[in-house]
Amino acid sequence: MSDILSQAAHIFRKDTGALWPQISILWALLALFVAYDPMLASAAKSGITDYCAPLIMVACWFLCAGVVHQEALTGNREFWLTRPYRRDSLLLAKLLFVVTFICLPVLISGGVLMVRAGVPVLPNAGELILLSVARSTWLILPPFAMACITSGFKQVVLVVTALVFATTVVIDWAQSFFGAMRPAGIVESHNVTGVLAMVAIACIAIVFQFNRRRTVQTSGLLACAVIALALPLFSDGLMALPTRILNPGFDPDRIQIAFDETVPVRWDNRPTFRTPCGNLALKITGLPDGATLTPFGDSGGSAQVRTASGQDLRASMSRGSIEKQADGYWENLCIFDLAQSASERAEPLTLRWSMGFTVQSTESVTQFPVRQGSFAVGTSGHCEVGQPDFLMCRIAPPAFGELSIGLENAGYRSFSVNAASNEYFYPAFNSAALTPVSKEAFYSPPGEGGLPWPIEDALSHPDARFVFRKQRVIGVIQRELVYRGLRFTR
Amino acid sequence: MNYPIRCTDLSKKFRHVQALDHLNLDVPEGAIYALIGANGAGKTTAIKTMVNIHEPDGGSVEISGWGGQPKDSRRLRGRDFQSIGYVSENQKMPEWMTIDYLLRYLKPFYPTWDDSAAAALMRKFGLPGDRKLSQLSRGMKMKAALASSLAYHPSLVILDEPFSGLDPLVRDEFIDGLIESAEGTTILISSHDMAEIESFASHAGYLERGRMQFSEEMASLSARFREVEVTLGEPSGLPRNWPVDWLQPQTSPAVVRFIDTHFDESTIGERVRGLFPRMTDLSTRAMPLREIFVTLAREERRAA
Repeated sequence: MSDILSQAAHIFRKDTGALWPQISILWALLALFVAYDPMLASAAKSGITDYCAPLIMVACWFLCAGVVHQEALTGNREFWLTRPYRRDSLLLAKLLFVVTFICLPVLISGGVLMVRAGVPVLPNAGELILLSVARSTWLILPPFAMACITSGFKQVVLVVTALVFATTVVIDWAQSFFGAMRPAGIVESHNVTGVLAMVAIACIAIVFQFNRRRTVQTSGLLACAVIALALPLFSDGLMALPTRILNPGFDPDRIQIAFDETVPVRWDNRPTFRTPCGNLALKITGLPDGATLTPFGDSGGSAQVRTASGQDLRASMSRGSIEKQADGYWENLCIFDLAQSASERAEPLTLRWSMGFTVQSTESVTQFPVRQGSFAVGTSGHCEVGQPDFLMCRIAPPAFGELSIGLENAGYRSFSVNAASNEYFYPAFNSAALTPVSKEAFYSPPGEGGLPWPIEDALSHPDARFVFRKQRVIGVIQRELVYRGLRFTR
Repeated sequence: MNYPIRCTDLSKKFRHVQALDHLNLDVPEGAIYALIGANGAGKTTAIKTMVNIHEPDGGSVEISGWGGQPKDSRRLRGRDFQSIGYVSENQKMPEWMTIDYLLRYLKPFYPTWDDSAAAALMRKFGLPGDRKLSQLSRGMKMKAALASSLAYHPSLVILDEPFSGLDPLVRDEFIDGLIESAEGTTILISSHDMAEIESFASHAGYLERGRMQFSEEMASLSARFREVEVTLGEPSGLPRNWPVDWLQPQTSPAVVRFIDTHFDESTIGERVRGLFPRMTDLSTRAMPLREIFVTLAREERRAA
């Protein structure tokens, strides 16, 4: 054992000597990023950090590939293959290198950012570490795996470019068949199964390649890893796996969703649309307490409108989010450009809509009156209301999930204002910078026509509160909703 | 007799190219074995298969460089290379290292590392320890590679085309250093440089299209190849029953020249007279290894 460790340490020292320029560049970029914290930076300085974040990623990839290529596993590798290298020592040395020069600096700089932002580090250390590990995985695993099957950084770049191109083509092709199954913004949460499978397969491939040097087989394994990441996007069964793995007590099949045709359609006038929007009531059962549903997917293509006489109508549709009201759940649905004749309009229509929903758990973190100047968000961070319509928060993010901020009790129903999570390539730390409540925002109170949201009114409401919630996607479900007696009459 | 390297029916194919075709090769202990052959004959593939850089498709290589039990090349691991030295013409060295750093770096890998031997090799080769490998000429790099492969007194040294691109002076220094430092060591060397090989190799093997055409001691090889010149009393063409072991026959009106690949002084006169009854004179000339190689290479092309 001591032989393994001492040889690993020996190789580690050699790699450090060989790659100190690359290490210096990465650390300088990290220091620059921390020094010009994007959330604190002025507009002029934020340009530096805008460039810094992707450069950090490139530097990480370059360093990671560089350390593997010191003893390349393919191509010209006589030098180390014909020397008394131990394979386990070699792999250990490389892992030690990336942990020392990439993982730890990423973690430390994340901590520094938190301190600079005034966010307490210790209470958030767990999430900081988890997030740093998750981010480091993306910074290390792909270049490490690519480097195992290549002999130089140029080859890595070529392989990655080809992979990105192929993936784009495949996803485009698949989406043309399956529709857009993936909701924007929560890819990581949705693809937990794919990510776990990909990480596991990639790790196996790396160990296999270090031990056996079978580049063709290793490349095949890595291709499987990429496919594993993509598979859950295209299969309902696989899409349910993350839910079942992460929430074994939660059964997505128990959630039943259907239009409630006993409740009349509520019609809203939206200034942006020429036609009125129908609010259709939903019957939802089996949803656990505290969970919310968010629809995603194609807003028009998957819907089908058919007259009672069996004629399909050309329709474009838009929809809002599902809201839980005092009197049930409502789907805000807009149907416009419905090209039907007057006689057809009189007929009851049948609406079929295949919809995907994310099921999210919601944990209320804190709430506060909107007029309060500065306040703590639990132990996660703090916010300042700079102006009546501007809120700046610096918050340690949930490791796996999103932070949403809503306005409640302002005379309107709960509304997720805007949680702009500034995700950088290197986000050991997120901020929610809110500039959401502008006069251009539209909001449809129930039973009323579409109105510009009068922020001043909202903020001046005596009970108005901003509410912070941590949300985590616990599952994805796909349902076909059918409304059989839909009439476009008000 | 021990054989630190034994190849038995060794085969290796790259896509549609049969690089090694049932190659059989035995390198005796203590020998300096020259593996010769034209470009693409399979020398480098054979050597890379011996040191487990390539995996054979068929057959096997047994290596016992450490003097112990023979081991299949596929099972060679790091520790086994503590007694094997390997230098290749295309070997990619860690160019950022200085020569001193390279030797310091390699030292902990070898329990038998000998600092004084390393220093002696540095002096012998005139290597500047503080220079980076990237700043060295090709000859210097090869010397540095050789020094780093001899400083731990390996029992088996494998050199793949070490002389390519070296000027004659560097070549001499390289060979002197090798012979001095590796006395008693088994050496396998592949090369095109027949003149140099001839000066120090004890055995030679000729590889042609992945197959071993002959493998024997240099002394017997030199003894059995002769250039023969026959002077005839009157012009004559080549007889129909020309022996297959007499290569490259050339005729001028009254002279016939050929290369006898199985020369026997006691029978050559009788064999020639059997074909040319009007022979008036017979002379033979010993051939240097280079000429033997060229003869065989030409014959190979002609046959192909």
